[in-house]
Amino acid sequence: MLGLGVDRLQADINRLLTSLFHQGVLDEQFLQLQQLQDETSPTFVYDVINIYFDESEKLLRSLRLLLMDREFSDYKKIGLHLNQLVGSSSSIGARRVRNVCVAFRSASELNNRPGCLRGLEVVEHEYHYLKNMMHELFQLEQQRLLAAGVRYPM
Amino acid sequence: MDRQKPTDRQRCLRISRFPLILPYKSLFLHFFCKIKSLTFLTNHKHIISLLSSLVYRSLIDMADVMRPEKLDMSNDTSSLGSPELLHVLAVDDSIVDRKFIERLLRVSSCKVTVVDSATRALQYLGLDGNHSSVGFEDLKINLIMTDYSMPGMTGYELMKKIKESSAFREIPVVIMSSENILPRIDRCLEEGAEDFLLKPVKLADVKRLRDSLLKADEMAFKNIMHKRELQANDIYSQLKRAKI
Repeated sequence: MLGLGVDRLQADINRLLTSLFHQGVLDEQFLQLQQLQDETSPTFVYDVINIYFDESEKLLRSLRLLLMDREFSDYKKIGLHLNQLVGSSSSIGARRVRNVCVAFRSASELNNRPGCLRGLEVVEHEYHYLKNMMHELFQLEQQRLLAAGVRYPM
Repeated sequence: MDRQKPTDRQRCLRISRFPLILPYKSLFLHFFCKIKSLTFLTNHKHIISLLSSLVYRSLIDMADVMRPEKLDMSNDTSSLGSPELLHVLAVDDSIVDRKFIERLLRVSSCKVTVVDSATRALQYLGLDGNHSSVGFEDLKINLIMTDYSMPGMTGYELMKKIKESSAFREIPVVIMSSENILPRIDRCLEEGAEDFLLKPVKLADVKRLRDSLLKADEMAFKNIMHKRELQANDIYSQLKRAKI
């Protein structure tokens, strides 16, 4: 019974990941992250992704504040924030977030304010979708670890 | 005795392995010639050969004492010491990338120091003008990997500063960037970058880098040994010319 739990959870994890790859939400860089995780660093993926979330939310908040300002004109600053977002998103394999950030950056280079506002909305949307998916993934992993732990009592 | 007596050539090779001997090689040749010339004064050749062996032995012992421990080439196959302990200095302003590159390098059996800016990198190396070079002689960095786009000083400017310093200009510098801009890449390579990596950096990139650095080191080692061999031959042929 307990064995089935682990296998079923693993199947759920695999299905979720396959779906995310298929949708282009994640790319092969995410696999690189997983490869770097082992017994010496068993929570590496979780740690990096959480650092990514913290950084990204700071940048997104800052971007929103900049654009909400009626007298906004600092497109260069927007560009700098976006460079960081593009870089960190590509480092963890968050392909869709990266791509919409690049599109947003193009709008900022044209000093196009409505384009930037639209771009920011799209980025926020994609970012939150990714975050929800990652939370689901981590929950499944956590459950699987617990199920595996019960299966092999110490 | 089971052991064969070493030939003169073998003796010369052994001498040449002691690098400090080479400046004194004319002195040793002088000793050898003087001893051998004694054969004109006596018929007791076996006494002469015994004497020359004794002098030779004591010269070797002297050389042994003078030999610097670090250059014991018998066990060390690379100047990096153990190939596993490649010490890399990584520079990146992005916290996500720092975490990532640190793990990437650790997994590749490297010792890693990560800093968040070019200024900090210069501080670490002692190139920020606030320190004398004392205390940084033991700092053994084998590779510097830096992001290109950083606030303040870029990775390119950092590399230029490193290449300007006599202490660190030999250290390979790799530049990383998420932007595939050809003129930028050319400029970096022209300025002396070892390599230019497009982000996101992969395990395969680091492995390739490590392999090429270790191979370069192996080549340097082979060159040193070849040079030694040539110097040994030089000593030997001088001995022969002196009709020993």
